[in-house]
Amino acid sequence: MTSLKVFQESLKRILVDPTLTESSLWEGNLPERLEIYRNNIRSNWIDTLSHDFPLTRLQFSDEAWADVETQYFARNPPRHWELNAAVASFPSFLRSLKIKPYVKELADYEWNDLQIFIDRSGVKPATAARTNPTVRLSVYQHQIFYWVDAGAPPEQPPLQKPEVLVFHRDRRNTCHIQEGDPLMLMLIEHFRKPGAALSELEPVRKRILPTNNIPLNVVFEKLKKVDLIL
Amino acid sequence: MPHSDFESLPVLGAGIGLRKEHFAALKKTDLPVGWLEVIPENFMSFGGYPQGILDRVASRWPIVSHGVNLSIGSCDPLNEEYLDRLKTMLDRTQALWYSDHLCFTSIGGEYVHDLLAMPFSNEAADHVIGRVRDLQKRIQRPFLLENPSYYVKMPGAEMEEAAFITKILETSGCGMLLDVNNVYVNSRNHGYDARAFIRALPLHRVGQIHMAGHADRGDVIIDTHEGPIVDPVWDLYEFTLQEMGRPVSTLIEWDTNVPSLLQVVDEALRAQSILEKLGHPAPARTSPLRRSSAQVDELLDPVRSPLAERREAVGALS
Repeated sequence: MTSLKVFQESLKRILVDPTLTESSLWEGNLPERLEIYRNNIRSNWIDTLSHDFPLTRLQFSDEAWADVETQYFARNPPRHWELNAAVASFPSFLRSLKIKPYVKELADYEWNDLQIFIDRSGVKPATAARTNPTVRLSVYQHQIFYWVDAGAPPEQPPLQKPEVLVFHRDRRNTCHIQEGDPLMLMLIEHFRKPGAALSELEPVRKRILPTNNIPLNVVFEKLKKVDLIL
Repeated sequence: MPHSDFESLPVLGAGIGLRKEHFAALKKTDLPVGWLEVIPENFMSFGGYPQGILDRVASRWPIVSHGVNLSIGSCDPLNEEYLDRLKTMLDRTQALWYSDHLCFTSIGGEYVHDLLAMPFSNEAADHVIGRVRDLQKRIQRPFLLENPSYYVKMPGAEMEEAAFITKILETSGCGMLLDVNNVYVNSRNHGYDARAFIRALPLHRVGQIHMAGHADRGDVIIDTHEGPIVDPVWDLYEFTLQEMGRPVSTLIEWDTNVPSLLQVVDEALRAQSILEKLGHPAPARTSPLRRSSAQVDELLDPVRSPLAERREAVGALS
């Protein structure tokens, strides 16, 4: 009799490969109703992809998207109990494809958007100033922010102009996405270091941004107000 | 209470599953929601708003936890990270008990995210029994196994389904979450007598019941947890309770095209009225707070950015 382990491994092969029609498990043709399992598995996987990357999905025809889905799950079978985690590699997978570069950036944007919403870090006031642990920074070569705001219409691609976007969740669980300026980014990076102090930053600013003379404490307070720094 | 004494588990009456579609409504409802069943996989990887909602409902209603990816029947080792996060969540919500399905969902470290049926073999039963014993030590609260729906009889069966379930429950000492809809679905799909099946189960081990809708496609019924519960399933529910001779906490499950909170609670009230025939008291109009919710209230009521609203509209939880 087939061992439990061999049975389970054989069944998995059958369920993820729709071209298989026979198996020694059933001594011949597969039972018709195995198709229900095949459909459930595929639907659960691909629904998550469309669900987590709704605007990226818009950039593909139905046929092209189906092809992308198939390729992605063939190379990245889910290894996590939580379905959203199963699509974590999708932005990097897209980077390996020959597709429009702004679509790759859009997928990255959508993943960041989801990640700040569900990030497990606690966003709480800190005794020593520190960067909000949910903060994520992404550099894009296209104007993704405004394009997304317009619904990312495929017929109107984003302008090719670099931008740095800052994603974070505040203490009220509100998610924010904004363009980052050099001083803001400098403070965010600086306060990621434990025990960082504002006074340490002035010489750095003079070196990196010699013409910038906005008082650092003004920017610091502004970032604290929106919970980018806690 | 010894974890094997499932007849003395608290009888909570009729409850509903916590679904993202009801997050907003649950924050302010005065509907008689008796208790909530939480799918841990929808929360234990998430912070922020989902975690805040979970904390908030757990401060108001009794919580039980019902997993979908424990994969108790898999030949893979039990997932340590999963168990750690599960235990943390069970403790944080003060979950009264925990259940998952008698099935496997992972093979060779990969998750199929569907409930795959076990062969009704001695090897499979013994495999599950050992893992249930390990699990019970880890979670430190009663554990119930649910009879899943299945569409294909897996090869290698050495006994009937009821005998397979009984062997696992009696030997491992765990309880049963009896899904009455699954019994109905399986009886129709595999052509057996649902009532005889229920009579053959160790009913003294049943600590909870599931009730749900399904999709009847004529030649096959799919367990979709969609649509209202049909009358034959209600009849089977009454029959089950009569056979048991005691009320049991009953959960109304919706997972597809989830309707309004009012409609789901309405179905729960129907279950409650059946439980009352067996002497279970009617629920209070509003449940008393179990503990202060001041801390969690502070964290909630999120104001979403337009982009985040889009995220909420599509739903971040699956």
